[in-house]
Order: sequence, then C-alpha cells, then structure tokens
Amino acid sequence: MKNFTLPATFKDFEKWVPDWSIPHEAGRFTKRVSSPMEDLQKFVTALQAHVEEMIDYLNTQTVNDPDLLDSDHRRLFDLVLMWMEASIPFDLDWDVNDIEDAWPANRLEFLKPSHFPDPLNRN
Amino acid sequence: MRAHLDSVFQGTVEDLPSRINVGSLLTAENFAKEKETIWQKAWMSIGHTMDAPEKGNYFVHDIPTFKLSLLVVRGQDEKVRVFHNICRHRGNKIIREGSGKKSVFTCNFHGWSFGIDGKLRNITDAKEFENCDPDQLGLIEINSEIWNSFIFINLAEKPHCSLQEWLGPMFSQYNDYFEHQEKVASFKAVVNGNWHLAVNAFTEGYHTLYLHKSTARDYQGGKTNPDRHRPQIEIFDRHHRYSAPGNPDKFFVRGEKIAAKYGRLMIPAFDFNTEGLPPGINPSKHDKWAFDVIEFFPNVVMLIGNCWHNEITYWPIDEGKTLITNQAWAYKTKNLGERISRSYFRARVRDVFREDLNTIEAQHAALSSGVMDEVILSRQEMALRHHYKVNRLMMEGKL
Repeated sequence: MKNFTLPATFKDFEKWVPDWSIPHEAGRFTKRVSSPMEDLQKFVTALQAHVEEMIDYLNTQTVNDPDLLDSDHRRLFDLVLMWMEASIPFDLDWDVNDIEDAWPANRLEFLKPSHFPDPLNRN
Repeated sequence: MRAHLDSVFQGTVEDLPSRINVGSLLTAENFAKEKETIWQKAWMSIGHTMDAPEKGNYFVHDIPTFKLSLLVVRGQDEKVRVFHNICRHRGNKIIREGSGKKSVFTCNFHGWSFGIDGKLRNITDAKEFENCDPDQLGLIEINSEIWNSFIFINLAEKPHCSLQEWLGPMFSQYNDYFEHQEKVASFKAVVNGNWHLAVNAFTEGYHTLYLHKSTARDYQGGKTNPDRHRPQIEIFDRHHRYSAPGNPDKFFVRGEKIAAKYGRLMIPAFDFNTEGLPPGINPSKHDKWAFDVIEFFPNVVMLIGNCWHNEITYWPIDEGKTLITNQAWAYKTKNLGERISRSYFRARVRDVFREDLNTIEAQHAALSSGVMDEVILSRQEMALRHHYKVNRLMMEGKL
C-alpha cells in the first residue's frame, strides 16, 4: 500500500502536503501571512530546486482544469501554487510575511467567480 | 540630466481645477444629493453576461447604496434581463444570494412563481385574491443595456441617454477584447471611506513609486521615465482613460521568471505587446506600454492589460463607507503551467491592491476632520480633477 499522496515522482515532498497543499487562494494567502518567516523559508527552500520540474510534470497532464485532476495531482498543483505564494516575501526582500502598511488580510473577503462551481477561488 | 517624459493630454483639461475641497463632499447631506443626482441617473456596471452564460442562469447583485437587490437572469430568448429581486406579493427577497440555474423562480414565502422572463407564472390559491391581474404582476424590470459583455443598469425610470451616449467614444473601442478572458478570482472589502476617495485611490500613477515600493518596486517607468509620467491621459465627457508606462529594464524576481516561463506576463510584469488588440487598448501606441486605466464614472475603474484586466466596482453604502469589489480576469489557459503562472501574478497584484485600499480609510478620517480645506492635485492626477468636475456637473444637472 502506498504511503504518499503525491504523484510517485514527487513522493519525497510528502511531508509538506498536510500543511502546505491548500486548494484555494484564500487559504494560501492566509497561510502565507500567518506563518513565521522561518517556516516559509524552510518550505520555499525545500521545493525551490524542484518547482519547475513539478510544473513540467503537471503540464504533461491532459486536463487544463485543476478540478478535473485526480487527487494526487491536485495536491501537487496546490503545493506548487503555495510555493509561488510563499516565495513572494523572499523575492521582494521583505523581512516579514506581509507588507506592513496594507489592507488587513482578515478584512478581505474572497468571493467565488459566480459561474464557477468551486466553493472558493481555486486557481 | 534626469530623463523625463511629458504626458500628452487629450480632451479639455484647461478648466479642471487643481485644488478640490474634498472634505465638503464627505458629508451626509452631500451624499444624499449625490444619490439622487448621480447614482439614480448614471449607467452603472453590475456584472457580465458571462456570469449568466446559459438560459436560466442567474445571479444576485445587491446594491447597498439603495438597499436594492437585483436578480440578473438569461431568458429562453438568450436576453439577459435585470429585475428587482422582490416578490410582487409581499415583497420577500426571492433569491437570497449567489448564482445558479433555474427554469422558474419560486418565492419560498407563499409559493408565487415567476418565469425567467420575469412574468408571473403562478399565484398559489389564486381565487382568494381580489382584483389581481397576473399580467401586471411580473418581476419589476430595471433598464439595462449590454456593452461588450458588461451588463449596465440605469435606475432612472427613463434614462436621460443611451448607454452608447453615456460611454462616448470608448463605446466602440473594445470589441472582441473582454470575451477572450475569464474570471480568475474575486474579492471584496467594505472600507470606512467615502466613494470618491475609493475611486481616486486607483486612478493616478503618481503614487506607484512610493506606495508600491515594496510590492512592485520597478514595474513602471524605468530609466527613460523615472517619474512614471503617464504617456497619455484622455479626458472624455464623463469618463477618462490613461496609459501606464512599463519599465523595459525591470528586474524579474525568481517567481516572476518561473511564471514568465510557463505563461503570459501579467501585472506587475509586462511584455508591451498590443498586436491585434482593439483601438481602445494603448490608444497612444506607447512602445513601452504596460496597461490602461479607465474610470467609467461613477462606479467602475478598470485596469486593462494585453491579456488581463482588473475590474474594481464601487457601491457607496453611506457617505463614509464603500463596498469595493475587485474582479481579476485573464486569458484562458491551455495547460496547468499557464494556470500556475496566472495565479502567481494574481497573488502579486493582490498585495498591490491591498496597499491602495489601505490609503482610503486614513485619508477619509483626516479629511473629515476639516483641518485641510483642499487637496492639491498635480497634472499626473488629472483624472481626479476630471472626476470631481463630472461629479459637480451631474449634481448641477448639467451632464
């Protein structure tokens, strides 16, 4: 019985799935602004050398809509999106996980595009 | 010598005042007058025909300015109609919120039902009603017109002009643009600030050097235009449009490089390409063009790029509170790599938008104090000068 929930090629990244594979924009944003920089750094560093490999792999899938992916591939897709979100503070040389003088994260209400079936923004 | 770019101004700018007494517009009395003279009379966007793509698809759009709820529905004849979301029997809100697909709308209070064309279909226990003509009791329709995929409404009993007249020259300049994009994401915020300040926060580029120095430090301007002057600012009768200058020497950070490798560039990175786009896009054909900003007075500001656009919609709740909704639209993807790329740029611009939002409350509080009589507007803030002129003319019944 397999003990991983990502496509087999990326099973070494399984430890990041429970906390970092988040299936909607609001959740990923909240994760970034609520995580200590140290934790964000560990996650970003761990996946950094493999992100493009992961995207290349996802690009071999025949579907374009993440909602049509099987659950293993969907978790990988969401993990890559989380990496992209988490990389922002480091790429922009911030000392913190969020900009200091900005609209508070908890006062932003995420909506679903009205004709999409998803419960929250998922792409 | 420091490089410099002089903005080209199109339209009448000579009579646009550089000093505005904004504080005087923040009162309850002024807002009551604005509701009557502007918001009751203007054509205003409430969504897209793509939000109701098939017959029977509907969505609810609430307008807190007038405590109105609208029901937007595509009929069997493919026409998208806008109704007051209110049962003709006892005034119950028929559809509470959201969107979906129905062949008939049934009020859950006493079971009256309405067709997707708005006609009253059934009165339960009808014989008990006296002098009740079903033909006169359909859903109350609101004046609406479609521009490209946008649904505009006008709350006046009889609009004083057509949507085409309202939109002016821009009406015919965006054909075949919006239909190629899909809604990527959306969020809203209720801001403790007046609607003018909320609109103003997104209609000048002067602030970008300073406010966005942490989130998009080098996305505009560059060596040849270090002050980020707008290449062109156009003033129309009611609306305005300007182009934002890209930076050809922008440094791509790690995430941007990856997103660029797998998808198309979107704000805050640009490829300057406008080939094949309609004439309203980059109207001055600036060679380092990033995006355009349009204010459709009074309730929509749009940022328009070559494969994406952002729509910011405003509904004043009262003189000191505004509902702001941001919708991100972008090119339709062909693979998951493009999805990831698109999502990355979307995340980046979310932070930029949050910086803009955060100026509104502080500014409203300070201006409401009455300490300052006037705000001072530069030529780069010409769109704001025009906004207040349009506001004044509409309040005076001259536009």
